[in-house]
Amino acid sequence: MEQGGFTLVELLVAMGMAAVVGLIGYVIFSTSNWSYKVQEDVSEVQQTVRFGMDRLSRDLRTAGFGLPDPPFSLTFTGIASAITSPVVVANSATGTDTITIIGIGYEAGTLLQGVNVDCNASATGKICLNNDGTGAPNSNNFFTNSGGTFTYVPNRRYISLNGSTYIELAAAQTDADRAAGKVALGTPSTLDRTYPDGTSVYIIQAVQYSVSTATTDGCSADNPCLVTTDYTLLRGGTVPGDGEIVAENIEDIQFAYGVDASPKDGMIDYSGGASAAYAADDFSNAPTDPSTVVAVRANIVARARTKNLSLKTGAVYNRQCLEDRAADAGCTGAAQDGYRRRSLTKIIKLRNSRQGL
Amino acid sequence: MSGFMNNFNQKGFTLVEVLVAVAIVSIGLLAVASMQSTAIKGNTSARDATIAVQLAEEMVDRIRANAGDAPGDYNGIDTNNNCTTPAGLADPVLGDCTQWRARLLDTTGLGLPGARGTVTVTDSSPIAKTAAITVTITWGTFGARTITFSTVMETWLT
Repeated sequence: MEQGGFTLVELLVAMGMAAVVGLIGYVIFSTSNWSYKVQEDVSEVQQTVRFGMDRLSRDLRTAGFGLPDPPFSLTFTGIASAITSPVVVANSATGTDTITIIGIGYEAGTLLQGVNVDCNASATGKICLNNDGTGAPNSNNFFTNSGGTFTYVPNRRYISLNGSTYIELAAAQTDADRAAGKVALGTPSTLDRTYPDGTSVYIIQAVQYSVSTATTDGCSADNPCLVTTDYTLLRGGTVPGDGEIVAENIEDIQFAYGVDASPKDGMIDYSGGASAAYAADDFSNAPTDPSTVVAVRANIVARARTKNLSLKTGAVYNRQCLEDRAADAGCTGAAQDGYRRRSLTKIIKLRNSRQGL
Repeated sequence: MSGFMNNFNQKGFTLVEVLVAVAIVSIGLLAVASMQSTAIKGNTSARDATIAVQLAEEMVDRIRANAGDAPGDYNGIDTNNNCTTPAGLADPVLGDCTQWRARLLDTTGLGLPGARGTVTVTDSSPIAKTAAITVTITWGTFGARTITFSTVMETWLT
């Protein structure tokens, strides 16, 4: 019946050691919890910045596709000045940049030839479209539909047949024509030749990429987001200015442009020559003539959704100083604000800039 | 009834036994702790690799934008030699190399410490009118790391 337990001293020592082990366990837990949060932030931020860049670069690569031969001048309601280049630059040294990209955005339908004699453009100045595969003429895509009332959208008047023939539609269209699936041509007023049945008719789109904090766009100062504003209203809405969110928590977009002004050889102009020293960077933040832009260097900064309060003091988690916004307050060097960030930079060639050709 | 009897015959662990057990558990915990620090290091290194890939892509995009029908001109450029080899580089290769070098080394921007970039362009035979581009970025002051980025480009005029 004799039991051998611990003595008090033994128990104390054992408890002390258990406490040490427990403490180590706690430290490990809290570190792994912290590193889990970091991983979560980083993966979300990477995802955001990649997605934003993916969308932006895809649009940029196609900029200019379907546009007429330069020099040209297109006007869109909602855009102050006439558009004369595939990309329109709005640079800011103290804030985010914006860029407007012009190019084929949407297939309005396909040409219907021979279904209705009235639709042959050479004779009547009108083309007939089909956009629902039923064979019935239908040009509704040039109109907004509000409860069965169709209104012509003049910002959709620039079209391209198959990406090769550029046409400007008439500034006004009748609802009777719409009901018959027609749209009236403007300039040129007739087709230059007979296009095969089923030729794609594309609407040339003006899309602006910007960073928005407007609550009307679904963003806020705590959640800045990358939005596109579609001036052809192809994604719905009634006024240009309704932004569509591309990615949330995008804090900054900055652009620099490679220009090909002289000689016009299709290459980016460099300051250096045979003997002159090259500048560290010949990309321009605000090109004097945007129609000479042949390549765009795009920078996107994404930040984590929430602040990470456990960031160590002195660690630099600020918006990176990118392009000409480097002098702006709040980038690297300023007091850190606790948001984890990632930025992506990419040079994108404008395949359809038509410079040097 | 032997189980019942044994209850009166229990012995606890001795102090030495407990000590040994604690020591073993601590060694295990130490391993877990070092795993954490490895994971954190891995994070940083993944970030650097992302930047390196971006820098490599930048050169590929420059070649796409500027090379036209002669991407072979970019073969052999090496930012470590201040873009002086191969000798006689001219526009636009010299410009691309010089400005790429500046961006590689720009550690306040998106550069990497001690970064060096090299480019090889070879005829991507047997596929006609294509060139294989390989961009290599090496960086790191303590223990160099390398990433290689390869792509095939159309050289539409050869």
